[in-house]
Amino acid sequence: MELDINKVIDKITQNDFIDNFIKELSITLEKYTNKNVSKVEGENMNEIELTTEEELEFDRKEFDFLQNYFKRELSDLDKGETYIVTDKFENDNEYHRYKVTQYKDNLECKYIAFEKDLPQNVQLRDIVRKIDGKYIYDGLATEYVKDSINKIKQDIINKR
Amino acid sequence: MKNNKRNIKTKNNLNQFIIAVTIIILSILIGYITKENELSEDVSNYNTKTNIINDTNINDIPEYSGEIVITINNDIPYFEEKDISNEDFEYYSNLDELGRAGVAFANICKYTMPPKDTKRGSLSYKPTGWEQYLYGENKSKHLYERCHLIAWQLGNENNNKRNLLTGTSQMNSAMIEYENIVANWIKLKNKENKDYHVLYRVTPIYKGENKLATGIEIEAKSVEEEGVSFNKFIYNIQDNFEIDYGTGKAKLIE
Repeated sequence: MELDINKVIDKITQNDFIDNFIKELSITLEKYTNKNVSKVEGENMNEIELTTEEELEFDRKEFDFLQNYFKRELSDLDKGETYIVTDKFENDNEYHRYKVTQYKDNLECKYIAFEKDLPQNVQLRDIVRKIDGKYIYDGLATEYVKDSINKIKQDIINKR
Repeated sequence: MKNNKRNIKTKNNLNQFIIAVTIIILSILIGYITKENELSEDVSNYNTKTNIINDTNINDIPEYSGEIVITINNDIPYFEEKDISNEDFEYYSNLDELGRAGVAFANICKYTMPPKDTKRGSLSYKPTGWEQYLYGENKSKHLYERCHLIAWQLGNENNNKRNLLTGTSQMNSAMIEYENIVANWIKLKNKENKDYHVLYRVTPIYKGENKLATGIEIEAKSVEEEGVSFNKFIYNIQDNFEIDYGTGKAKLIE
């Protein structure tokens, strides 16, 4: 018996439903693979140490990115004033302090923020918005800033 | 004949379509390029703006003549009226294109200072001009120290690149004297249950593209009550050493 597989495949792929299914499956698989690749790259990336020159380049690009980001964010205060949580005071049993930071006018501007005014379980590098003296966590902005900074580092590593 | 006409019409339609698509693509491209240019212009303008630079220039600083600390502007800091505030803040300049730290400006108060009994962590960052020179018996002495612009005891800022510069151990010791004046004032007022502030600005001054600063200017002024006010320049020198400020390399001259 001759199966003539090629003919069968041709017939199957001519079917619109099958064709669409294959296309969608390919796209989904591609997205999934890319996500996994960048996750692996991200994990490895944190372990990769930058050289002094690379670190200088990273700092400069990170600062420029943050400065542009804050310039955009601070031009529209409807959603509150934006800060990034950058420091936590260790062993601070008295005041429970953090520092929140903005990047503007070529400066890193740090301000004291108290734990009681910050979101619960606040983490360093979180983006928060100050509304009526309280800081609200912005998940989307946090993800965007973290991803963008990771990409800056990844690009520098990729140039090697 | 009819077919020929239809072909011409189709061809015309196709041409119109191609032209329209080309115009749309060109418009998008032009818009994108313009926006990119505007953005990069904004960035370069933005980068040149720093509000906290004081007026002291390298040309205002006399050559070192044996005194590691000299007084500037009759000991009056250059703060302006707009700087006076009781808001807690610390501003650190972005590193310049050579990777050098710039002006640091803060309004020191009890909340910016580290908690009691906290020990400072070690430092790993090497600021520009970090060409360490070990000397003495068993090379136990060192020429350079990583100097905090805003002292750790005042701002709780340790391994921040924008707050560190290479300074001789003699310069660092001289700086500590003035940092203590500020810290002691805040602590004294805190004991009186007063949450007082001291405006504090440290400006490293470089000659040309030198990696090592010639020295630093320290200005301080208590905000709520008169008590602290000074404007000093501290030379980045070390006795018995000849220092190349361009690179940070040094040699011991006995």
